[in-house]
Amino acid sequence: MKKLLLGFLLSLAVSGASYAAQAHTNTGCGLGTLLFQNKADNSIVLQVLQSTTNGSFGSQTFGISSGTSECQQPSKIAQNEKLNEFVRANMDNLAKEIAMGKGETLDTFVEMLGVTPGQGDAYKATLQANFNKIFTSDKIVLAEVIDNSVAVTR
Amino acid sequence: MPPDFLSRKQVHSMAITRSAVFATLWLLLLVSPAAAAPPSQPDLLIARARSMGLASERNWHILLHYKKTFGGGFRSRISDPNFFLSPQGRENPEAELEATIAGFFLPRTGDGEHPICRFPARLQWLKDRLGIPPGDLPETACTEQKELLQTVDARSAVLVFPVGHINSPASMFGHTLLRFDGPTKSNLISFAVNYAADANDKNGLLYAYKGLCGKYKGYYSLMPYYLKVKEYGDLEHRDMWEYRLRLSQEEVDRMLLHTLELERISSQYFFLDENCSFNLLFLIEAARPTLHLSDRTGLWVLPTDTIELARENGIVDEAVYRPSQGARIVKMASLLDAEGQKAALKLAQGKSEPSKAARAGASVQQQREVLDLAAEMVQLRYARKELEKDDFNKLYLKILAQRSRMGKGEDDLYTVAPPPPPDAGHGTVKLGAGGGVRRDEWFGELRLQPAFHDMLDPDQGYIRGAQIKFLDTALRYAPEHDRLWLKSLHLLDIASTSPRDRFFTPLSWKAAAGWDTEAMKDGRDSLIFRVNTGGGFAARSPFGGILHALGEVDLNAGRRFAGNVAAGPGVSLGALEQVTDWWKLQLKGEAFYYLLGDERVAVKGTVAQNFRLTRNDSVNLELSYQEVEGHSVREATLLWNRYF
Repeated sequence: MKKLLLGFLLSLAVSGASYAAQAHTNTGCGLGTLLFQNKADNSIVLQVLQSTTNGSFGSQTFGISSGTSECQQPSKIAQNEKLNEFVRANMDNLAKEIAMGKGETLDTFVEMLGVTPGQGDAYKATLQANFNKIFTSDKIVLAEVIDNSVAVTR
Repeated sequence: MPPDFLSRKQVHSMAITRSAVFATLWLLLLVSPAAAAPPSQPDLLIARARSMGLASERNWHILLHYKKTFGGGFRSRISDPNFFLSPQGRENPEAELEATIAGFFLPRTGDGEHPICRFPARLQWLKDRLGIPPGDLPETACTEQKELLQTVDARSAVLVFPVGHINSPASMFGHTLLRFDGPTKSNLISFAVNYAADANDKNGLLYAYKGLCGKYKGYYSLMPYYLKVKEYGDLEHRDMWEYRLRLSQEEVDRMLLHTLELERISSQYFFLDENCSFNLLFLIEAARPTLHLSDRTGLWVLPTDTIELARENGIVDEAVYRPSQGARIVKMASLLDAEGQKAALKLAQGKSEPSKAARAGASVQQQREVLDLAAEMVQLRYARKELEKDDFNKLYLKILAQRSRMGKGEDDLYTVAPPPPPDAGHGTVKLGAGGGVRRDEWFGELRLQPAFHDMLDPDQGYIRGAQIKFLDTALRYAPEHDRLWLKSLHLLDIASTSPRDRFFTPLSWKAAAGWDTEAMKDGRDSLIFRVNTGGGFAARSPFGGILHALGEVDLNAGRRFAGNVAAGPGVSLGALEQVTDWWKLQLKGEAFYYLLGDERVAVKGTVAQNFRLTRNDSVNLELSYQEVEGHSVREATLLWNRYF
């Protein structure tokens, strides 16, 4: 009996070792920036053991700004760090929703740009119609996205 | 060197300087009794606080996270010395209160390090209670804090519950966090407060041990809410529920100020009770100290329990549903026929050109739907690392560029209908009573399932097809023979049946360990210890239920086996159908061939049903037939379940 238990526990210990926690990995200023890499593919057994942790890992910051200093900054509107960070973190969803002409990320973006609610729909339609002028290449970075968005809606 | 350490040292040395100044003053008083200097402001305030008994007020105990000890004293749940201004602060509310008042009058220090900056909620409360005029306190900048308060600009607070993930038991209980909403319409750019363990161990066992024993440090953190939505909703495919708290502006301010006090402060993280959900309760209590939440919890605290607690106290509004990307994809796919779904998949795999994606004759609306679904799938493929970043960018933009030419379409097309909210679910502790007949012997049965959800329990508010149970125990008593025995005690019993489809191909699996009383080779019952695991597939049934097939391994240990052990492979097939809102039906067949230790073949068929009576009452009826080496065992059980 004891041996069985021990064997069970040992197998857990070994299979659990494949885990690597890596939160908040920033990988750039453009499309495809995943902020939480390697979060979804843990081994099942470790997840069993983690089942009571409700856990995220190692995020002990009060960093209300993660900083976009390594990214090129937009020029056409006043410096707005909150907007820059939002666009950097949500660029993929923003691109998708601009293409669709609707969505929460797009609504947030438009609100942050200071568009009045009454003009929101027209503004979003303009962005959608000018998708190719905003996302000019697959190497696009946040500064250009913001600048281009402002430019096409002037 | 951490700044907290620095500032503590400074505070300490200042206390020494301060007492030196007092000593000098005292000498001066002795020398010239005519010029009687009035007692200093902090000493007056301390005397006033003492006469008012402030240190025994609940507000103070909440702000310091004090709990009563068995000896009748107090002890803070926070162990970090940086949280206290008095060396005795953790155990002595009076000493801490007095040190705090004195601390506020210390001379200026570096920006942000003064107790006035570090403990804004304490400051606010003491100012209120003692009536300290603003001009009396030393001037302090607290630049960082002012900026933070401005950025967050909290107007209301929301309790957020990301549900568990169907196939990831790490999250089966769910999680809770708080959100501060500012003046903006969008709440993606609100700020979230999260409490989590700082745990990086790669060894699962060590992780479990440390977590259960409080060896990890837990920290509060503050971050933009969109990061949390991305993490839970987009990457982990967990739906989120948002409960706005019924708090006034003043209460919200207090909550935020107390949150700031906990920056960089560590506390011991206990997986079972002092976990993410529990530690958020302090913030809610800080907002409204008349609430009793943190002292109303049990031996363990599950996220849903805290929601229930908040609901009972009347401080939450109706839940708002935020579907995950997974739920959105399922909804989008449901709008398309098989052809449309295949077209979207082909696009997402880069096997067809977006410009030609439109099937001949498909309406513009259908084309939009195909492209939208394809875009979601490309994102999913990238998150699963099936795509490199460069390939993702190219493919994604190509699909989106085509989509952008087709107009907006209907607004609410992809709105996912909310399932029953978590607060509609049954309580997390189950007590069952009833009886039945096994081999013509009548018995009474008592059952205790301390946590959390059995596959047969009503689904409302829980994840369908998932089961997670701890210490599930059944006792039986047969009056005829005056015999009492343990039917089963499962230390852990987890199962996840997750249907596969064109878009998602999860594995289903189970893992259980514990004791069972079962029929042996000779047909007689005996108590065995078992470890049982299995893996396989599940699919949606034509009636909307879940079908599963698992390959399993069963390891047994018991006195009645040759060599005390038995082991063998097996298979299990099952069907779970929600026939109506209140009626759930489960069919199960399993066969095991024990090759090692004690050769025997065991085949069993079960029909189980659950009838939901109310939110916290249900009835189980289970019939089974088992055949072990030619011995047949028939059993019927009827149980009344009450959930707490």
